[in-house]
Amino acid sequence: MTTPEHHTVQAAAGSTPDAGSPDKAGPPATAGAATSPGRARVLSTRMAFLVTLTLLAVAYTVMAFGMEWRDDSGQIGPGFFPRMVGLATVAGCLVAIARTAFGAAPGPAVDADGEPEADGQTAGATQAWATTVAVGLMVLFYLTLDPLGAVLSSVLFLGLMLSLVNRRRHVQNAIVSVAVPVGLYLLFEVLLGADLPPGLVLPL
Amino acid sequence: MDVFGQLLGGIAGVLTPANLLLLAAGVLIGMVVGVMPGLGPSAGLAILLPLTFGLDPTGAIVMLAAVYYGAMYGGTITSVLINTPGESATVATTFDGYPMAQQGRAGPALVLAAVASFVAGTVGAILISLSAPAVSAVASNFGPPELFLVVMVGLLTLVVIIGQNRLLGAISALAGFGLATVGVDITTGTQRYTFGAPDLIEGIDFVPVAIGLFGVGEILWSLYNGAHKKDLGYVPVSYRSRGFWPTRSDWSESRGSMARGSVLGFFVGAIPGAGATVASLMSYTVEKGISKKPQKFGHGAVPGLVGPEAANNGASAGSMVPLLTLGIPGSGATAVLLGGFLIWGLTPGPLLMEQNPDFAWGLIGSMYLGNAMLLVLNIFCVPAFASVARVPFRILGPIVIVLCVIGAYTVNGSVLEVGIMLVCGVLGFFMRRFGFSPAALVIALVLGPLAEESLRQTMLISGGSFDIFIQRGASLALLAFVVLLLLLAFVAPVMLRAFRRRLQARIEAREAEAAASGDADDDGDLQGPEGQSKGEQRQIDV
Repeated sequence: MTTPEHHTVQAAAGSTPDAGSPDKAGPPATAGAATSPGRARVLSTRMAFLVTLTLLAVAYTVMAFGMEWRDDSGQIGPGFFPRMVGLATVAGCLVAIARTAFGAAPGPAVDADGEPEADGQTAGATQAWATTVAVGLMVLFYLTLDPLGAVLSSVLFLGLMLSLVNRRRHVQNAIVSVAVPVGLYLLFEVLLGADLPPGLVLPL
Repeated sequence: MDVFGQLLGGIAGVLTPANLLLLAAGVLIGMVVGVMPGLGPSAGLAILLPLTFGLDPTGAIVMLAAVYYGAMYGGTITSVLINTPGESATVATTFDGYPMAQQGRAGPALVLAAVASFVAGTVGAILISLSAPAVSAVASNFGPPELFLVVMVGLLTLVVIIGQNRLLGAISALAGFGLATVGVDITTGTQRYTFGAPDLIEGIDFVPVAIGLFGVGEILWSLYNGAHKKDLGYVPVSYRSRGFWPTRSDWSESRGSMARGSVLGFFVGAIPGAGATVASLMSYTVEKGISKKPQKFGHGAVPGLVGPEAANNGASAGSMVPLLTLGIPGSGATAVLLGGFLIWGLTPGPLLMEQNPDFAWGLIGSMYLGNAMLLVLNIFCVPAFASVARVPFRILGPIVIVLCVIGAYTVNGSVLEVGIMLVCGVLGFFMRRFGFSPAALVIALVLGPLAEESLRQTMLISGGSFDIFIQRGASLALLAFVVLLLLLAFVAPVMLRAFRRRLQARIEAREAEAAASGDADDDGDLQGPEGQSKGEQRQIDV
């Protein structure tokens, strides 16, 4: 799937290359290689994401219509640009929903520089579970950042996260969990003079 | 010669011991970030931006330019050694770089890639010196209508290049514009979408958004793809290994490819929205197309490595032209750079080279020196950086999340912004999962205020009429370019499908003719141009 020819021909054609690493690239959803339940799951989560986006865009647009689009002197008001953006976003989301509902396959992912990359939809339940737990731990990190401070909350987050993804390497995890936050504290607070959340437990 | 004098002045201005130290640190840190799985220049710049807040603007820019190039090259190291590009711009490097490493030629591959990057950086610096003042002179005549259209051109190019997901790319850009409207409206003082939160009055800072989308989003995406469970095949590299240095024939094979890749990359990169990935893939196609031994491509061909490598670095230099002269970033990484400029009170655009020549030429000079530093550090430190690539994702991933949280907090000392960053991280994950474009969102977020302000001023000038866009020569030309892009996006695929149908019909007719003539050998003849086109067509369909 990821032969050089494949990438180059697609790029030359202006089509979407599935330009991921061979290690990362799974069979593209567009190729129809995904199993039906897997494809259905991708489509339903995609639909849920699109519907959420649409609802947010609708709320944004409704609020935009609550602002003046033209001020008293007849010039453009604060609501003009948000109205245009909101209406265009709602329209775009509705088209995307329609495409998904009427059989258009999920497209491949796009990398950080805005360029197409491997889909990676081959991930199974274990990876989805790990991702969900990671998000939960990030929320915990956020909630403990202020009360515990940057160092302790980082130690807590790293300890829990590493025990999830780097199992059975307790000594290594313990060393990384303590050394990295202390190193970052020294870098940001001591070397660069940036203030980190001190917390209520330790003066760090 | 004047421009070269200014370039030399820029280089001389940057050549202070402190700046050289920052340059070295930036390249080192950038390379370390670049070799981390999934993290490219965008994430590297976004995460490391807070590190530069304590520096003076020149020092900060020097360091960021170095981080940019270091991260780009970090992706090359992983492409060659573990067949995993840090970001898509180095995908083409894996095609021949990894086979070279498998043949025990990782050393020559990495040295040649570094030299190609350096050559492209040199060519890029010269071409920037020649083209930036010219573009700047043209752009200095731009008024609000043209500025608005330039923003649209940049975003549209990005969306068109995304390809199949143009609609989702457009929605991403619109979402960025939407986020840009949060905060106090500068003209009227009205609060928009702040929900009474004082932290939102000044708007949503792009740094936490970029860190979330590019940093945390990438980590979650890698986690979702099971990167923490993979043990990557690593090809060791050491000075002591036999054949660490390229041979004479490697050099002679590389020369033309480096030159072509550098120039091609620069011009592709200079188009707002077109990125290093497109440049490197185009270069690979060109090199294979003109090679006398195309069958070697994909099996460790030196031109297949150095061409794309020069092109992606050339594109990085080229992208500085629209960034410096128009204030339009063409990629996620340059959007973060633009955000950095704005933080330090510098507004890239037509007047930058006039009003802040020291800064503009200093940046160009520091980019060039960054390349030179990269070459030196790479040749002496490759084995050390290669060892970073061996640290598994299951350890690096959590560390990067902590770095993102602390980095987001240090921007404004706001816990709310850490929350925004984490929400954007989750958003970035879903955007990647479903084919949206995080880069388009960040670029639109950075350019949103400029787009709104220039549109407002345009409407003010025209008395509310959109006719102004067709009444001015420059804006009419830009509008024509917008129309061309839209045609490319919507008409080109239709024409391509029609072309495929015709091609298919021709192939079938030829096959039928061959079958009718009863000459079984004709089947072999069909592996000529038509047969090849059929193969290409099949790949396009995938």
